[in-house]
Amino acid sequence: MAEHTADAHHINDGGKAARADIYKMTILLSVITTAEFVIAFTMPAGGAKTGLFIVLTIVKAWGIVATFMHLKHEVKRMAWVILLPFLFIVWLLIALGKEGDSYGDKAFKDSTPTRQKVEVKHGEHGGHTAPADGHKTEKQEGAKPAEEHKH
Amino acid sequence: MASTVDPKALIEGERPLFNASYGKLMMWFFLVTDAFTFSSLLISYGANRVRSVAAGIPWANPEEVFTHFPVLHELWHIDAPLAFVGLMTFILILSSVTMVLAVEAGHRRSQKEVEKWMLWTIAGGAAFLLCQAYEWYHFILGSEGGALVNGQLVKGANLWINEYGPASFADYFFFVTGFHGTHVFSGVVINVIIYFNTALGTYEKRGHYEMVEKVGLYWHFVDLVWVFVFTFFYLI
Repeated sequence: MAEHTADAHHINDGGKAARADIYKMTILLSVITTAEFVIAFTMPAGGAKTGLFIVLTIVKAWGIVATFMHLKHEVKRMAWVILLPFLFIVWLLIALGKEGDSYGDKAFKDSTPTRQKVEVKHGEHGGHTAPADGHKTEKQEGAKPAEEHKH
Repeated sequence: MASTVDPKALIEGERPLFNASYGKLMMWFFLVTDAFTFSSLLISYGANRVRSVAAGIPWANPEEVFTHFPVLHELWHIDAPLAFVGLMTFILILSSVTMVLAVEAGHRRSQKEVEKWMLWTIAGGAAFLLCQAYEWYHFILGSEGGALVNGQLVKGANLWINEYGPASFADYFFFVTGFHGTHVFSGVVINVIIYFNTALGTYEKRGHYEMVEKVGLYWHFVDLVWVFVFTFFYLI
């Protein structure tokens, strides 16, 4: 129980740098997440946007692994043992990107559904027409077997 | 911050490998395998999506799917695209922060602080799970109007058909966020156990708080996976 009394001034010296590190990373992660949110609505869709998102995600992942999971303070060899297997994931990415064609062709052949969103206007209260909706969902249930054939 | 292993954390006769205890190393190895599972899921999601678009079937637009925000939606029917999932991301990141603070307090063997931060972490995890339930609820029920798919009115989503995009969009959404949610749930349960062990003085008697560190690794991993899910399911 002697440790308990010692804790009071341990807070002032021991662990102070570690906590500063944690708070710094918290701010970085929050800033990146906010930035991602802003980018999602301001940048036009495309390769640049996707690329930027992936880069920001990897930065966040690095922050969590290095600081929160403490990997940057572990023995270097251990970090390599953990990180190197992910080369297989890179390989999977390349392999599925190149060889996934035949699978994709099979999965999506002759199934090009047309899709149109139904807008609901909120004029007065009680726009929810429950009975009619219930009826339509029933019809949707009936369509299920037809959909299943496509797989 | 030098990585020296606490001799008390070692099994009798154990010679630490990489200066880490057996338990910690094994947690890392488990997380690597788990990361492989999630990577495979996300990569197959990506392949499926790219193929779908190439075949002329537009993928769902997350900005139009995830628009519900509690209270805003219920009271005023205001759409807040991606705002709720942004909030969920913050909740999980903050619970990761409180977890790492618990680990740090454990290094100083400050029992009361570990208890406090563990409670915050549990609260964050539980809040995240509630948010996910809300998200799933609205995803399954769908928008008020629904959508006409091949001339047929479809509302919400199930494993066969959905109003947002190809069936595989909803399938992957259910499976990946469900699998992640299961991880969060187990994480909360384990965190509760760690909290009680701390409060009962188990680790104080043991002389070290390495269990908090090991469970912390798992909890950060759950946060790490969410960072990727957030990007690939909601942003791109």
